[in-house]
Amino acid sequence: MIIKILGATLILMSSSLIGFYYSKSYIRRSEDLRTFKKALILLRGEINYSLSPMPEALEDISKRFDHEISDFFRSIAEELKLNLGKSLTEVWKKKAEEILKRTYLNPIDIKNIMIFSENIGYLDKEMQTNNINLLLEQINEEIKTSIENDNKYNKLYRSLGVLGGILVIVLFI
Amino acid sequence: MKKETIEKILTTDLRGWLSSLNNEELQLLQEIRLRTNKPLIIRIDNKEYFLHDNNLWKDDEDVYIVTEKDIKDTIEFISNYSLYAFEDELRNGYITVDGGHRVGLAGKVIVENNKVKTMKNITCINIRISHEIKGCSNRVIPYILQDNRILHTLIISPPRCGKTTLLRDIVRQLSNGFKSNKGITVGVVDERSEIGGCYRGIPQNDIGIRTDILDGCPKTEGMLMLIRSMSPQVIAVDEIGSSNDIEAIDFVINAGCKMICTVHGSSLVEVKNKPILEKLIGKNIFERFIVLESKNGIGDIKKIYDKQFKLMSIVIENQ
Repeated sequence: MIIKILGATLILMSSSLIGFYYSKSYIRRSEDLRTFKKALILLRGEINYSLSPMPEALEDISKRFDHEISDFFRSIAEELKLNLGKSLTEVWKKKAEEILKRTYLNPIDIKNIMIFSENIGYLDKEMQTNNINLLLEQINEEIKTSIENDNKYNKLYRSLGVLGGILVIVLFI
Repeated sequence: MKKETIEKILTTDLRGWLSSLNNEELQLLQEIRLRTNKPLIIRIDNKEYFLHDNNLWKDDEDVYIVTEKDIKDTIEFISNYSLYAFEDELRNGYITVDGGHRVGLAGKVIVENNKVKTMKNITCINIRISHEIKGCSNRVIPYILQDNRILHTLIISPPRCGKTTLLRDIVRQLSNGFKSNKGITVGVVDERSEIGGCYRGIPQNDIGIRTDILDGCPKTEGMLMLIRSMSPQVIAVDEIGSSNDIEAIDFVINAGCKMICTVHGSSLVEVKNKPILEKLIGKNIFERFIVLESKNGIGDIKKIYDKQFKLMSIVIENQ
């Protein structure tokens, strides 16, 4: 009997934890999106006001905060400095696949960020600003939907976790 | 050092041949030209080469053809992935890269209000390798430096005869000190980043230890700025020609500085007849004229005239 009760509590605890974890995923994603947005605004400033070249700008920005996204920026800058003859777009896409997967950004976000790199560093300052603004707009929209989804599904995931646990317990008993 | 700076701006497909050059050939490397869908052309010691399987080739059959991607990537490397940082340079048609090499660009030019706004669809790239020839002014300096006194000098030369190279070496030697003469403070206004070959403000060519350089600065303003800020004893500028330049030179000379400058032209008579320069030369300011000519090599003949336009000497470099 004791073993049964112990097992039931374990199942209930783990299922609710899973539920809680998923209920938080929207908030975490919107936080990561906000960090990326901050980094982009810094990049826009570097381009507009100090005209720093891309590797320098990315490195400087990566020093301003501590996050996987700053790792992403730093690793791009480091690879560009090696002069391996790769284009910025190539390096950017490769690193986005490697590093941004570790964040809570979803595949759509990563795809947007990868598409963004196709026009970066090319043409004039105005074009750069427009390109960054476009990505910022997309990110803002994603943040909005992420928060809406959070309101919608947050409670659902939590109750689903708890209730699912109870269901499993009932079935087993 | 030179090799690395060149390698850095070429795509991986186009780097291989560089390592097969020996030091001497590397010194004589003049130009690398890329044009979309045309063969890659490399100019060494005034001879043209093509690329065939990473080797230099003399005939133009079955040689490496530059692709659109080569051009696009090269531009990315030249601009350090940031073409936006070079808007002003693009308007002039060239970018100076690390190592002091000048990269000329040509393509479709966008005009707005009768002014060049920018350039797009760049299809031709000319990488001009910067080369300093230390000591090329050895035999000229005694004519412009007498008893620790420097004479106002005008160097006259057609394009590609090495006038900038000569000016650079004169600046270096005056600044470091030549034989028994002490070094003096030299101010250089390097409007087109050719004399110092500056990259981020740091001269990549040796222009001496007592030289202050204003990089990318218009000559007229630059000369006045230097006089006010750095108190030079000699001011050196490249390619004078506008009437504003002449006024600035007047100012420099009245301030007690010595002038060393270069001008395009093939002979003293031709330069004397140019309307703007006529004014300057008519004032009898310049005390020495050096006219460069090429026969067997770049700038191997230097004719030196004195204040009264009398031929003083002909220096022939034995190459």
